[in-house]
Amino acid sequence: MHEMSLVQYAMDAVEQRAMGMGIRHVRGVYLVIGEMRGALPELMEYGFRVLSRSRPLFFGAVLHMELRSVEAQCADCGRRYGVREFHGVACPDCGSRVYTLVQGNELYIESFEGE
Amino acid sequence: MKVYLEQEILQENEHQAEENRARFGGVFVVNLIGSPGCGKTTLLEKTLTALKEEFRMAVIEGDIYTTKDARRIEACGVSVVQVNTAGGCHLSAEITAKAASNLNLGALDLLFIENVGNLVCPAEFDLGEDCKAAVLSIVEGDDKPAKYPLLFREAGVVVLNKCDLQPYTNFDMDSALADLRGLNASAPVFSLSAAKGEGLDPWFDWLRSAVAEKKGRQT
Repeated sequence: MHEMSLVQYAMDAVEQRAMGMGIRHVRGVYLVIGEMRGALPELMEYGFRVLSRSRPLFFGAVLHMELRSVEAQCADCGRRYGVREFHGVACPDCGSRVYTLVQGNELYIESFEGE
Repeated sequence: MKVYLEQEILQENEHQAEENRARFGGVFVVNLIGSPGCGKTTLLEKTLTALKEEFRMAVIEGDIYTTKDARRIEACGVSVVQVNTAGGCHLSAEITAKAASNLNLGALDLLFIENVGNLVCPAEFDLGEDCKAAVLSIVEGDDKPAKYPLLFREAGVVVLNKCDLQPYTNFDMDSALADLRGLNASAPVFSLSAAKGEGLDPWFDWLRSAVAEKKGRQT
């Protein structure tokens, strides 16, 4: 349950930037989260709701999350394919088991809205 | 107004981790991560006892509430800093910095950080270590690399512990290793039994060369 820490880090970063810009109220925070990071959106939302109650800058703010599925690229034929689970991962075209992950490892703050 | 940040959520932790890394200097730092009961502390006990004439070592012991593990480490004659996370599921770079300030880093060759027992959260947090060591006891099941891909992808070394129990389990070594290799082609894998003291020598040799290599890089 490290979602609380993640939300806190995100809010600290947004607050720092918002303060520097003279923004007094944040309406929304936009995060991008890859599915292999093991951060549960429900827990992120819950954490955000709880923490925003004690931080006036975030009163009533909404957390938006864009989830990115896991995608691999075959090291042998270059085909990009989705990975649902990490057991027996193989390229659907050539069967190679060597791959690099090209999506699904994201964990960043895209933007925020405020005034 | 929309403000674009494009900033890693864990950037603050990463900054602190970089500071830790600079402070650790020539000390080789291993961050041990694994489930509760996988044998992290037993592996440490055996390692500290075997290598204490060779290296100057210390341990940062992350534990949710108790000092039980720290006392086991102390009994090996090595300095230990106990960190209680009071329910927190992982160590952070900041907690590590505070703990490390209690150690004389200049007088060390090797520092182990035993993380809180958990396969998910500790994998996210860079502590400033040189290497994450994923410890998996085979009784946990051969599906664990596939289920906890982030840890096994981040690991610089993988220890498969309790291998003496393999005849009593349905652990499929080929399947576990195939999944692991897909996620992480380069990490060395050591199959051993810490409790029985079997298969530990390759792990010790790996530590010896890692310590020497880190020292070499500093001078």
